[in-house]
This record gives sequence, structure tokens and C-alpha cells, in this order.
Amino acid sequence: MDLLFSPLSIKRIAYLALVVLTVYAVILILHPPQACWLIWPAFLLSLVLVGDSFRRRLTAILITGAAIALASFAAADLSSDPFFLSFYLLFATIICVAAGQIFPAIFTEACLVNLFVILAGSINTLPSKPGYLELICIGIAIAGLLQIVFYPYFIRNELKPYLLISLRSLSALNKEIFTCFLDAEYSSNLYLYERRLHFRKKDFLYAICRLREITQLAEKRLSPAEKESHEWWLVQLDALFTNIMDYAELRRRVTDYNTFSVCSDELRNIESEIEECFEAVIQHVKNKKYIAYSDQLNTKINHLEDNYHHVLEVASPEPFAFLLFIQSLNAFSEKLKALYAHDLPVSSHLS
Amino acid sequence: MSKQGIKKSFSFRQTVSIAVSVYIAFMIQYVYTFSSEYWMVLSAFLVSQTTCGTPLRQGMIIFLNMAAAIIVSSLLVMSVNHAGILYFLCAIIFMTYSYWVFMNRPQSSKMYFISLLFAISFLIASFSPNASFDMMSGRIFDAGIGAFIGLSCGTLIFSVKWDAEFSSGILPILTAMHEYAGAIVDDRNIAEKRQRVENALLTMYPSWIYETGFNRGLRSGFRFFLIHVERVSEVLFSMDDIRARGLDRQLMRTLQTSIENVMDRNQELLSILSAYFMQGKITPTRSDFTSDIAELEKAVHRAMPDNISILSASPMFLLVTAFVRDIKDLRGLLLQLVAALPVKDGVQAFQEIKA
Repeated sequence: MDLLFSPLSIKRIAYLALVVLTVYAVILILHPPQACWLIWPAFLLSLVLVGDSFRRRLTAILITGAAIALASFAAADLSSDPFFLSFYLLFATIICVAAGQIFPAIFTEACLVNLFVILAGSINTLPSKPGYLELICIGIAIAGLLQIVFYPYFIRNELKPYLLISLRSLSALNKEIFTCFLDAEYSSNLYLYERRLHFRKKDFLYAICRLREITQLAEKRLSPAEKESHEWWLVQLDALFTNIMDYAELRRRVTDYNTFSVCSDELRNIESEIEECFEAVIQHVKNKKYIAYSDQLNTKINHLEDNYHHVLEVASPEPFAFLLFIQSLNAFSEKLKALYAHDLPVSSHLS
Repeated sequence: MSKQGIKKSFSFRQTVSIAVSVYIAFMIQYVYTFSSEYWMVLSAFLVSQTTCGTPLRQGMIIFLNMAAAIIVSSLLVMSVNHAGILYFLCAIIFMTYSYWVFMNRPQSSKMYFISLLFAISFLIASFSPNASFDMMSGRIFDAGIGAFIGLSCGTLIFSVKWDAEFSSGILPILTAMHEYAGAIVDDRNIAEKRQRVENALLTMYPSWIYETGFNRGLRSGFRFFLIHVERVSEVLFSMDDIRARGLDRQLMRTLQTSIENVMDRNQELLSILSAYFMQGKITPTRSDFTSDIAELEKAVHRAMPDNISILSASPMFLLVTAFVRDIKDLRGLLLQLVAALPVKDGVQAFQEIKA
């Protein structure tokens, strides 16, 4: 929900609405016989998300648009001769699919070009073909020009959501790990739980990877203080991830899963406190009021430690694994506490 | 990549099969089409955008998505007579759907495109110059034929070799982990090497094995391997974390030789795994994988108390013990992986290594 009302999301809605309205206005003015050649490129190019800065995004849209215009023009021009058209279609598909496979970041854009080759190749089956190239160019121009909406604070608007997504992913990963501890079915459905864990990890890795890319791009023009602040957040997120991986080891080290039932209440409390802590950090990132939960987390970890000394140390076949787990949780709590103390990166007007 | 490697790669196979399916669909569409539109070629192209794990299942889902988009758009065209209202209705559906997909980030560019297939099919169906309710069945028939062509080409042309795909995915991960393990011991370039492991896990990890409906006969073996590889990465991340918390230098100096010995053997096991996935055979080794661990345990006993109560009272000792425990866990996991490698003539990997 927090991402729904972020500046980037609001700008995205505004951009999509503007594209719809502008295309409609152009249709009303020009009354084109085949409005689809205006609507398709404008709408489909509004989906382009590649590019970490405003200039790169605009370049990506214009290059994709130019490729669409050229490929469509060639396909429509050849449409009277099915022999040449079929070979054109074959080679255009090979080029587009290969481009998408070799450069996975532009997969969507390569597929969009291929779609237009296919659509334009069938132009002879449509009633008439006047002015379709002009309409495609107008569509590209609409999608490209309206990107101006994203220009102010482009990088800041991209950075903050990915910081939030990274924190949310870590929270989800933590939840999944505790599910492995607390769910009695973990041992019998190992693959299912590990699969879920894998996807939660992947979500975080995607977010941190993207965050790293945008930060690296922004760093070239940032002041040393801003640069340091951005790097600090990246390092901390990485440290939180490796720490989570450290305490996740418990699920592998414990051989008798019934042991978890001895401390299930404590584990459940720790899980909910960690979740609260992440929520508080997210509020901190969003510059909203929050209550730091790290003291409560420490209290819950202490409860587990008490349980360890009174029950687990005797009852568990692997008490040492729990000792390491508690130590790792304490380190995690310290790291979370450090996040509250650190102010957010100050972002310049970078686009 | 060698010529042979390119031919074996999924990307090459998929490029050829998509191009051929588009070509065949175009030729059939030229001879006969139910809708007089492009749905046959479009469908052949779109249903081929699958991963190598379960292409048939995914292709069917994409076709059903297309059929649903055609039906929804035809119903809208039939029920709304005013062109302006129809435009805004279709535009709102398309934009809302695309916004919803945007909100589900982060995802790869391919996943983003596949998530948008309903919206794209709906857009094309709604604003096509010939759009009408009467066209609906013709479009669905054409899309069905296209889907059949796409799925047939995907299955018959250069059918996927899962073992080769698995090897090409797992190899960069093993290589990155080998370098990361070395960096943790040397305490150099750790952040860079960790990012390499993260990137390899993100881009090369053969997640298609986890897909619902993947070959039942093969999946248990592949999944065993995947889960263990992922656990090796978790142990390495854990070691990195413990090291970053600040290990006692004096204590580590005492244990350094033993730790380096064990980590050398661990890296050797990683090299054996990499060599297996590269060349398909086990590299013989003279190392025994027990004496170094025994030596490390002895060194730990000499340097630190082994009583758990004393350990729990001393964070310094506990941290080093956690690091050593990770090293031993890493050995256990790697030995399990090497032992599970399938070797020709029914000889188990260990027997071959020992020989």
C-alpha cells in the first residue's frame, strides 16, 4: 500500500492517464481511418521501464520506437509479396528474439518490436493502409514526450521505492524462514518450503541489484555526503541479508524438528517483533512517525535465551545450534537498531 | 562460447524454434485464416515465450490468456456502441492491468512481458480495425492453430536437454561461490565476490526446475542438487556475516593454518563440482577430506574451551566457534553434493575420487 502512494506510482498513473487522453485528443483532431496504428505504439511504448535515468529511459523509448517504425514500414512495404514477407518475418523474429536472449534487460522492448513486425506484416488483410507510418510516429512521440512527467527527481523517485521494496523483501524472507522453524510440515515438504525461500531471496536480490545500479549511476553526480549515505544503506541491507542467512542455518542444523515445539512461542514472538522492526524502519525511510521496536525484540530474544538455559540446553540434541541462533539474532537486532539512527540519503534534483 | 555450446544453449534453440513457428504460422495464415487477421502468427509467437522447464503448460496458459483477452474485448465491442466510451473503457482496462504489473516489481524484463500478455492481447483485439463480436470465434480458432504450431515447434525443434541446461545454469554459480569462498578466507574483495554470487543466483539459477508440472522423474534429483547448492551459498553468506562482525584476530591467527587447509579442500570440492558440470567427468584427487577437519577440531580445542556453558558466556569464543561450524557445515554439504554426482557405469563419485 505504501508503494501505491509513492511519488513514482502517482507519476506513473498520471503518465498513463495523459497518454490515454492525448491519444484520444489526436484521434479527435485527425480522425484517422486506422486509429490502431496510433493507439498501439503509444500504449505499448508506455510500458517501457528500461533505463535508470531520465535520459536513458527516453533514449530506450525513442530507440524502441524507431525500431518499431522501421520494422513496421519494411513489413508493410513487403506485405504485397508473401514470399519476401515470410523471409522478412523469419529474419526479423530471429533478430528480435536473439536480442532479447542476449540482452535480457531489453527482452520486453525486443518483443514489442517483433509484435509490430507481425502486426504490420498482416496490413494487407486490413481494409486500407493510408498514413500508418505517420500515425506510428505520432504514437511514439506521445509516449516519449509525456515522459517529461518523470523528469523531476527521477532518480530519487526510483531509489526510494527500491529501498522500501528491499526492506519488504527482507521482512518477507524472515517470515518464510520462521515458517520453516514453526511449521511442523517443513521436514516432510522440504522442497515446497525451500522453493518459497528461494523466491523470497530472489525478490530481495532483484531489489538490491536494481538499487545498486541506480545508486551507482547517481553517485557520479552526488556530493560526498550523499554518496556516503547511499553506500551506507546498501552495505546495511547486504549485512541484514547475510545475517538472515546466518540465523536461517538453524533449520538445517536441527535434526529433530520436534525441538522447535519446545520454543515455538518464543520463536513466534521474535518473528512478529522482527516484522514490527522492519515496519518501523520502513516508516523511518518514508519520514513518518514510528516507534523503534528493537528493545522489544531484545526482550523476546532474552526470553528465548532463558528458554535455552532452562529447557533447550537439556532437551535439544543440538543445543549449540540454538546458541549460535541466539547470538545471530542479537547481532541482527543491533543492525536494525543502527538503521533507526541513520538519516535517509539526502537526494539532489537528479534525473 | 564455442559453436557446440551455442547450439546446445536454450537461447539458440528458442530463437530458432520461435522463428520457424512464426514462419510456418505465417504460411498457413496466408493460405487460410478464420479471422483474416494476424492472430495465428501472433499466437505462435506469444506461446513460445516460455522457460525450458514446462513449455507446454506455460504455452497453454498463454493461449488461454489470449483467448480470455479476445472474449473480453469482443464482449466490450458488442455491448458498447459509442466509440469514445469504448476507447476509454478499453484504455482503462489496459492501463489498470499494466499499472498492476508495474506495482509487482521488481521482476525480470521477461517476466514483466509475460505478465503483460493479457493486456497486450486485449489491446490488439480491442483496437483492431476489424474488431467485432462476430470475429471472436474466428480469432480464437486462429489463435488456437497458432498456439498448436508454436507448441509443436517448441517441442520438436531442438528439444530441450535438461541436463545441459542445468549444467550451464549451475556452473557460473559454482564458479562464483569458489571465488567467494577464497575471498572470505583471504579477507579481500569480499563485497565484490558476494555480489558476483548474488548476480549468479539471480540470473543463472535454474529456477525452472521449481516450476509446477516439471518432469516428475527428473525433478527430485535436480531439486536435491539445487537446494544443496543454495545451502552452500547460505553458509558462505553466513561466514561473511560472522567475519564482518569482527572475529578475534589473536584467536584467528592461532587457527589460521587449519582453517586455510580446510577451506582449500572445500574449494577443491567446488572445483570438482565445476569440472564435472563443465566436462561431465569427475576429477580424481589425492586429498582425503577428513584429516584436515580433525586437525581443525584439535586446533579449536587447544585454543578455546569446549564447554558449551563457557562458550555461551564469551561472545568472542562463540563467534569463532560459529565461523568454524560454518566451515564444517560447508564441507558436509559439498561432500553430499559430490557424492550425489551421477557417474557412468553406476560407479559412485566417491569411489571414482578415491580411485
